[in-house]
Order: sequence, then C-alpha cells, then structure tokens
Amino acid sequence: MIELKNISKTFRSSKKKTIALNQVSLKINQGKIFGIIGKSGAGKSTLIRCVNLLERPDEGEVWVDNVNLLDLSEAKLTLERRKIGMIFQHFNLLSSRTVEDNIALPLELIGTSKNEIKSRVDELLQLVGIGDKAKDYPANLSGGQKQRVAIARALASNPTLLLCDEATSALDPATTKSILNLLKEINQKLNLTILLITHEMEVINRICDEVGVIDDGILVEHGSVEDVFTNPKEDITKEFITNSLDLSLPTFFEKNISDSKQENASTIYKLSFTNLPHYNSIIEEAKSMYSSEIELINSRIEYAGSVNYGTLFIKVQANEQNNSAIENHFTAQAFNIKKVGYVRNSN
Amino acid sequence: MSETVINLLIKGSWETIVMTLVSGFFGFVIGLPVGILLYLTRKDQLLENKIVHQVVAFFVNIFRSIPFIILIVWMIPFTRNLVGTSIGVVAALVPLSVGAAPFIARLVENSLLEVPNGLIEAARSMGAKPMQIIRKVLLPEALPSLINAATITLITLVGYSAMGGAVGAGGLGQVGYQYGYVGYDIVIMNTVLILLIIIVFILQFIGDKLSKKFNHK
Repeated sequence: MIELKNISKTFRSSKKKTIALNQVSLKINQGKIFGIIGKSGAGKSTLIRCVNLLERPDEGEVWVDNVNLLDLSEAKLTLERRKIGMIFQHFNLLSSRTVEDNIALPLELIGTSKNEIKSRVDELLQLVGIGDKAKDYPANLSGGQKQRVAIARALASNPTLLLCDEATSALDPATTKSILNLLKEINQKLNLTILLITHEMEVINRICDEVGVIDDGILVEHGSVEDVFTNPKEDITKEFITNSLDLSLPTFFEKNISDSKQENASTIYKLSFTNLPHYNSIIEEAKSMYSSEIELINSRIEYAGSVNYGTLFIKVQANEQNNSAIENHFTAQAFNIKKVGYVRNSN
Repeated sequence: MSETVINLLIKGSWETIVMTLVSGFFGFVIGLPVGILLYLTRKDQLLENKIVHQVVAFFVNIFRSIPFIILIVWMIPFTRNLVGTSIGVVAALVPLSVGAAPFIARLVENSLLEVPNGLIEAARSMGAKPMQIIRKVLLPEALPSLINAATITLITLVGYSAMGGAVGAGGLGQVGYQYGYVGYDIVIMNTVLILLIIIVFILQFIGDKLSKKFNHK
C-alpha cells in the first residue's frame, strides 16, 4: 500500500519560488491503478517523482509498504527503490545496450547470476510481447516497442509498485491503447499497484480504478473514476472530462461565425454534460417545446464505466425570447451551455 | 636518402607513436577520473559539491593555461626525480601525460554531459548506487563520445611530442628540428611532416571507426 501524507515541495531559484506541491495526501491500495491528471506545470510530475524520492519533498511522509522512505538513509533508500519500478515518457533506455541487456540492468544491479538473468529476461520479453527483439538495439525499435522494453525493465526486479510518468504521451493513439492494455494486463496478472500521471482523461478512463485531479500543486479532487465522472466537483475536472472528447466546431462554421447577431442569423451553442442517461430525450423535448429549428451540428458521447458524458454543438434558429427559453431548458436539465456565436442562415 | 637517414626516420616515427600512445594512456589514467569527478560534482549532478568542483576545476584550468613547451621545462626537476633523467622519450612521457590529463578531464566531462539526464534518473529509480551508475550507465553511454575525445587527445599529443622534440624529447619532432631546422635539410624536414600527417590520419581513421562501432544511437 502507498500513502502520501501532506507532501509539499517548493522550488526556489534566485528570482522566484514556485510551489510545486501543496499538502498533497493520497492513499493507494494494493493492486489498484491510480491515475493523477493535471495540466502541464500542475505539479503531477513532481508528485510522482516524490514517491521514489527522485525528488525529495520539503515536508510530509511517503509510505511505501509500511516504510516511510523519508526516514531512510541514502543507502537504504537505494535498496528500497528496487521495489518500485518506473517508466517514463521518453522511455530512457540505454542506447548502448540491446533490448535484453536493458531489461537485465536492474538484475545486474542486485547481483543476480547470469543464468537467472537469462531466464528472467526471457520471461519478461514474453510478458510484454517482444520476444523477437531481444538482440536489437533500442534505436531500431518503434516508440511502442521501446515502452514495452521499459516496462519489462521496470518489472525485472519484481516491484510491488509501478510508477508511470506520462508513459503514453509520446505515443500515437493506437500504440497508446496497446500500452494501456498491457499495463492493465500486468496489473491484473501480477496484482501490481500502478500510479500513473497523465494529462489525458482517456488514459484515466481506460485503465484507472481511481483518479486524482491536481491543479496548481493541490490535489483538488480524488475518488473512484466512476464517482468523479458521475459527479465532478471542480471546474477543472469538468474541463478535463469534456476536453477529453476533443470536439471542435466544424471548419465551415468556424469560418463564418461572428460575435454579434445580425438579421437572419442562427445561434450556435456548445453543450456539455456528464452522467445524463436521458440526454437524447432532453434534446428532443427542447425541439418539440420551442417549435424552432434545433439542428445538431457535431457531437460526441463517451462512457466512463456506466457513466456517459458528452459534448455537442447545436444551431438554433429562434427569436430572442425562445433562445433564452432554450438556454434555460438545458441549464435546468444539468447541461452546461455556452453561446459560441452566430452564423447567417444560408437562404 | 641514405640508410642512416631512413633508420633515423623510422626510429623517430616509432618514438613519436610510443610517446603519443603511452602518454595518452597515462593521460587517461589521470584525466578520466578527474573528468568523472568534475562531472559528478557539478550542479544538479549525482554528487553535487560546489567546493570540490571548484577546487578541481581550478587546478585543471591552471594546468591547461601553461603552454606545453613551458610545462616541459618547468617540470624538469619533477621529471628527473620521477624517472631519473630529463631528456629522451621516457622523460618526455611525464610532461606529456601531465599536459594531456587536464585536457582529457575537460573532454571527459563534456562527453558525460551529453548523456541524457533521463538515463541517470532511470538508473536511480532502479536503485543503482553511484558507482553502478558510473560503470553501467554513464561510461557505456558516453563511450562513442569518449573515443572521439581520445582521438582528439592523441592527435594533440602527436603535436605536443613533436614540440618536445625541440628540447630533447626524441621522436619525429627532434629529427625534424635537428636535421631539418638546425641542419637545414629540406628533404628530411618535409619527410618528417608527411610522416606526422600520416600518423594523424591513421589515428583519426581508427578513432572514427571505433566510435562508429560503439555508437548504437
């Protein structure tokens, strides 16, 4: 089990001081995947590096398997780190070593015998699915293959915890998916606890059991993924959820949109929601109630577990009064509605 | 060209090669650890230590400031104490090694700085001890660059050893100086030049080949 208690970290330079982490506390149970999401500069990278003390917090406690790492001497800490694997955004493989020798490195550090290393490396190569690449150098591998090597290397010394520092951020969507599946598979097969940081809600949604949202060095919200998606408390959380849909106004509308209302123009709205099982009937209802043209331009609905969330753009051709009635209708039904602008009707 | 002159040139070439390689070796024996120390004690590195870094850097800078021709002369008492003589190939090895070491130290420091920080971080996260990081990560990763540093050093030492020839170090430098300059024999002078050029080209060729062989980036 991992527990962070009131971790704070401030970076000081001659000109200014930056509070990277402010009293962060969290607890991760054995075998869970905990994801921390935050924007760049929010402190998530510092946070994950505080878990194995690559970065030393100014105050707080870091408990990993009933040991407070901050109490340990440098030599003892070095030994304790061998129980914590870590993978990185840029893989950090040694270019001078082949795939199998990279995976063997943590075992060499603890003085494992040559034969044992050989069989353990073979086992790990199979586990991460790159058995045929054993003799290749990292330079000849794709990003996804490199991350598989890094995962095998991190697992070599049988850690109880795996830290993933933006492990999929340098990968394309399809590769990201396969790496996330691999992490989930390992988590279940080895009952390995995973702490990951990311800026993509998709990563959280796909594999995490629990999520923490970090903003400006403060852990503003945390809980089970489904709870946080069902009932996001903070604006930043809602933003992450809707932004993860990555939906934008089609270029045609983008080009013709204006901020001021003109004659014969329709209003464009952006609607977003989380956890509204009947979102569709709410839209239908609005259409029939206000006998005006509500046209769906673009939409995307996703699910986190059984919870849906979505973003849609609609075009409304109505008079001033009905426009605000429509706005009220959606707001009353727990939609988040925002006026994007106006477009002239084509005829 | 008479047989004696040819023998003289062969002997000179051999001495130059010996001086270059042996002093290069001793230069690395001193310079490599000093370069590693300079790197490790830098700000934000593994064994950050401002005082140690500045003291070491101070001495490295002092020795790098002394022109080689002056270093040889300045070191004569020390050289005589160490090897019993101040002239000849063996005596020249002492100032050559001492002259090369700080140069090598800086080159090594630079080579190590090229190793991406993420690799050291990954090694630390695996629970590698500082010595393990040096042996298993830093040096192997910097190897192609270190080989380039060695090539630069050896070529510089060819030049240094020729300079030493003017004050009795032996080698092609002495042949060129005595017979070419003092004796004003243009043929010997030019032959010495060509031989030096050939040695430099061979060193560069081997260095490039080795560096490429160990570079898997």
